[in-house]
Amino acid sequence: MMQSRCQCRHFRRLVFGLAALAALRASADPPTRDLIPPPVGVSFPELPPEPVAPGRLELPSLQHELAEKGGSTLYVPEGDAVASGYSSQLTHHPLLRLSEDWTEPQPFTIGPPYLGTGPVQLYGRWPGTDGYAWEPRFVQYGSYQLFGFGIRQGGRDQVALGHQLLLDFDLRLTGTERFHVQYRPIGRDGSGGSYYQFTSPSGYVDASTAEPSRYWFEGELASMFGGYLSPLVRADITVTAGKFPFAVHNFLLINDELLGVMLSQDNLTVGNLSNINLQAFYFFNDVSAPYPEQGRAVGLHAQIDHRGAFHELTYVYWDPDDGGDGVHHAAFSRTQMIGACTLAARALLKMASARRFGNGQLFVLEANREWDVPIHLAGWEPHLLFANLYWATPGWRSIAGANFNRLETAFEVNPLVNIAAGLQPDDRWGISGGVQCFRHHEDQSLTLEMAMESIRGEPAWGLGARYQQKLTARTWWELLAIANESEDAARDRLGAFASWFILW
Amino acid sequence: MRKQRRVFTCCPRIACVVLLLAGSTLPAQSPMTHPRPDYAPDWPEVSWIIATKCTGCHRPQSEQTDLTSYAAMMAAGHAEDDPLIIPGDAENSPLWQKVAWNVDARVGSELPDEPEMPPKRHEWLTRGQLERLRRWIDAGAKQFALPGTCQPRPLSELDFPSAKQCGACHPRQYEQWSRSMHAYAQHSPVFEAFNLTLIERTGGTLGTFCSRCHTPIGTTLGENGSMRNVHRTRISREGVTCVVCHRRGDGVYRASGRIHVEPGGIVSGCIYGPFDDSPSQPTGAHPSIGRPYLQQPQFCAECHDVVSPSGVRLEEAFAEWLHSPSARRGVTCQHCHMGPVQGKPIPEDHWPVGPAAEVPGIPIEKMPQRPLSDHTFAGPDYSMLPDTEFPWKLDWMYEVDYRDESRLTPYQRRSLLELRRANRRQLAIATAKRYELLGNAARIQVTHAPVARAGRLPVTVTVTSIFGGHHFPTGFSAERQAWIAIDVRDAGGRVVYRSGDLDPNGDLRDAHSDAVRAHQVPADLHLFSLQNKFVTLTQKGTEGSVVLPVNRFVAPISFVRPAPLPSMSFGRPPGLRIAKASLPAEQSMHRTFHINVPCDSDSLTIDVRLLFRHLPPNLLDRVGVAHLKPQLEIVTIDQYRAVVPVVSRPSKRLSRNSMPQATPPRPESGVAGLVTGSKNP
Repeated sequence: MMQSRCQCRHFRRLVFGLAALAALRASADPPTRDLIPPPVGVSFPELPPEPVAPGRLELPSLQHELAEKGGSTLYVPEGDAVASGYSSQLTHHPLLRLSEDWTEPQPFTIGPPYLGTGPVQLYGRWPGTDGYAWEPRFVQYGSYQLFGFGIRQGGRDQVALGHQLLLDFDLRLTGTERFHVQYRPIGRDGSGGSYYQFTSPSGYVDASTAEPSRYWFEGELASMFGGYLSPLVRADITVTAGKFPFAVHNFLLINDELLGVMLSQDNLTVGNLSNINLQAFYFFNDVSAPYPEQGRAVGLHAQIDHRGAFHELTYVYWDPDDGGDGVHHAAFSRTQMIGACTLAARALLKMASARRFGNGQLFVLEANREWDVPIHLAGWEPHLLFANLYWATPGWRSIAGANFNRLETAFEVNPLVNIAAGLQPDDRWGISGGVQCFRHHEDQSLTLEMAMESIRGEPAWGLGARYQQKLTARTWWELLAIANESEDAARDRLGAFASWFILW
Repeated sequence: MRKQRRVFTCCPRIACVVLLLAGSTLPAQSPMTHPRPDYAPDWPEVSWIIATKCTGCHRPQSEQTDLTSYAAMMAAGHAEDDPLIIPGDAENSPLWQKVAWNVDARVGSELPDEPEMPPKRHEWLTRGQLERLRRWIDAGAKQFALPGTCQPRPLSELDFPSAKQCGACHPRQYEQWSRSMHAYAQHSPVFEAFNLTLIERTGGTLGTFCSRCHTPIGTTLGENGSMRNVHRTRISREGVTCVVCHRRGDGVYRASGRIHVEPGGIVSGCIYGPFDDSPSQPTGAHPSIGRPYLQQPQFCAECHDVVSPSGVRLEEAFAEWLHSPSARRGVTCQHCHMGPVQGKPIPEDHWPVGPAAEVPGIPIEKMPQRPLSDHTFAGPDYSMLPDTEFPWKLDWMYEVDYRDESRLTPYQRRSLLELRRANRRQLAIATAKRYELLGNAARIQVTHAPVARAGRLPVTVTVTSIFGGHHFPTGFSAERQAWIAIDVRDAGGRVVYRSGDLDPNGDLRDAHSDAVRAHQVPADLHLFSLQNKFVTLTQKGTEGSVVLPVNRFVAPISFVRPAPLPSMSFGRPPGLRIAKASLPAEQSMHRTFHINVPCDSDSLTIDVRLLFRHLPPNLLDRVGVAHLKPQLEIVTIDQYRAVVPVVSRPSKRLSRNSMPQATPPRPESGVAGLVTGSKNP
């Protein structure tokens, strides 16, 4: 019955579409819809006369033409102007190139080479008349991280060496359908990895697991069922099912891997609201809410662009499995670019009973400005100034924040990250700001940050630094450092975290 | 006798030596060994020459000698005891005699000044081509063939017909395509630079993601993304050539360019087109079959809806169309971009009618009448190459440096001049169609008080999209710039208010302006721009707009890998999105500019223009083709001009509701319409 209704609806649309087309054809003039009258006196440049009579067509000299267009492109790679270095003289931006015989780091692939050359081979197709063809390709990629850290927090020292491994397996069927599985065999979920602790209590902290952290399928209905649908049917609805990461509002509302199903539609337009992305989701497991009970989450999320301003609206209801008090969450964010500045304002609201810590709010203001200065000390180019301001009430909790790297967030001076990861906010507000600098074509990055936070009127100050450096085509290393000072000794923190990464 | 005995006794030794020597030269009789095939290194080039210059006329079932295959060429003329090709003897081969000519303009040469074939002057064989042909015939006129064990047989340039071959029978479509951005797709120096820059920024892992759309054949043949254009094959440089569309038998929907083009010679493979009643058989031309999918927007979406592997929606033209008024009306991409008026949705039965093919030797009356599409595919881009290199080139330009005219033969000079004229004509047609398209994009409406009083004068500018297919602008939307430039001057010509003007580099004064970021010029806070922007998430959770879609804020290495999260569902990956400011189809946006009215002026001249530019200068700076910035053209799509008298004595403030409409512009204040703006300074 549902299928026949669906077909009937599609058939009606098809009929209307054909009728409209027939109406268009019936009209004598080209069927256009003029919203306002066209301008009068419009004339397009006349075509030049036929090039058979020399002298009638103005032709600049060959040398003038070549000089104006940057020379020839036939004889040297990228043409005369680039190969001679002339083009580089006209700008302070560097010319970034790899050699023609560069061999890029490749993932492990079954099927055609990943983003490689050769003919596209099609095997199989979705059902239906002229169902869309498949180009299956399996890709395995990932990263391995070695890390070491030392931290003194609340009078307690911790020194450790550890590692983390991320393994991703991706099976692509088409440009819109694929399966994906991710394993973190030595560091489950947000643990950050397994490590050996040298300080007391010493020993190996094992976070290994054979369970995949993510496994999901994503596909578009218009692609899967295109063999049955009219090309005019708006069936660009994406279905996602499995355990997949879900993060919204800059990771502040949810940042977790959740088991569920989601329907999305993108590129919707209402008036001059554009790029509307609507998502409806139901997560029935693995919701790492900060409550002792297990629960489900159901909700709606929308992203909207309006004249370059980006909006996010979310409503989520967390429903405990035991039928107890649920929690309502609503959030709104707006990001606006003003000149060289970007401003984002976020309001996250929680409505819950006292058993769920009561009502809570989190308000955040984020700002940054791109900044170029002519003086580069030792080649460092200050590039980005940023600042965050936030206020959280005691009742505020994020819905689920398990996807933060627990180890690295300890070295994050910005308190917002810890709040999003599930830290009990109390009544607190804070401000942080800093600068990110780059060096050597952004292969090196240095971020310096200062933060001040007040919890129940008690201030804490923090300094943080992050240094990243690319080493080879597939390796890089990172150093995090933090120093927190507060009258509350439990909040004092001093430490460093160093990592080395290899990607494939 | 003794001699005989000596010979006889020596014979066994000699025989052994002879046998050993013979055995060493005989092929090893192993089941894994096959006889070495004939290797004719000149055959691929000779085959290309003949295919592109001869087979339009010289095809089976025609009055001309069939040259469409090696077998046909070698069999030609034998029945009359006058073979076309005499292996080993080029001098006496009729094929050679017909094409040879005094290519070096040598005085006293016995060769004719003009060859008998090919008939078109610009197709005469070059010196290099003549040498190849002669060498090939003298070496035995063999066909290059790989051994049978070479499976699957690697594809070569010969497996895909050149557009020139198609042009022999489809001159109209070939001419239109030649000036199109499909033909320019791989030629574009901006694309080449952009692609190479992104390959560097991603450590090479971008691979062929970009070049797979811009040169599907080249990528199929094994040319990676880093290969420079000068090293690419000819068929590769044809970009989106004829067979890229007309040899696609399978639909792949939004595949971001991963399309399957069926290989095969011009007559050995099937051509897909919009018509199901092809008269191919009686004409000796290629077999063809109708495929309705070619007329659906989903066909265009296979390249014009691009999502990177990490989930960044780089192009959304199809997705925008799907939710547009045009889709609701059944108007497709092809109606607007292949119809007789670019940018106007005209159905096929309103298109001009004529023969889709003009087959040499076949009376034109015998060709079926078809609604004729326009293969110019007008868009906002245009060629930035010299007029010697696009749309057409001459074969000899690859052998002789045409830049030094003093070293050219008279033939080369003349053909170069004719080439430049022909190319300029094509570029002018392409420009006219581009203007036509842009002229059908949007209009502005300006409202303000008819009289300005001391204080503030609000000027409201409304931009309205007048087409229903997709946003304005679209395509690689983070590049296209459309904005309102407003300039208000007093009676003395002093600038009272200005927005939408450019910085010293020619950029808009926004976040992408180097001058704004360096505090050299103030940001244009009132800029009314429809340009989309790439926005990346920085380390500290804030977002910043970037010119190149690579996020280096979070990590110093950007690998292109399949996104580990369902990015299609979100429409973007977490670290990078497109901030969309473009105007949806048939919608309006407005902005009010508040002008401070000076007390000491009698009048204000208000000049408002809707401007368009297909690429920003800061992008060209970053990808290494800054020398092309002077070629960036700013097109005025619509404009408004008015002179408003200023009343110095203040009076009662008018309420917003009682604000009268603007008076029509005075006759001398200019014409609303499409005007070419100036090139970038």
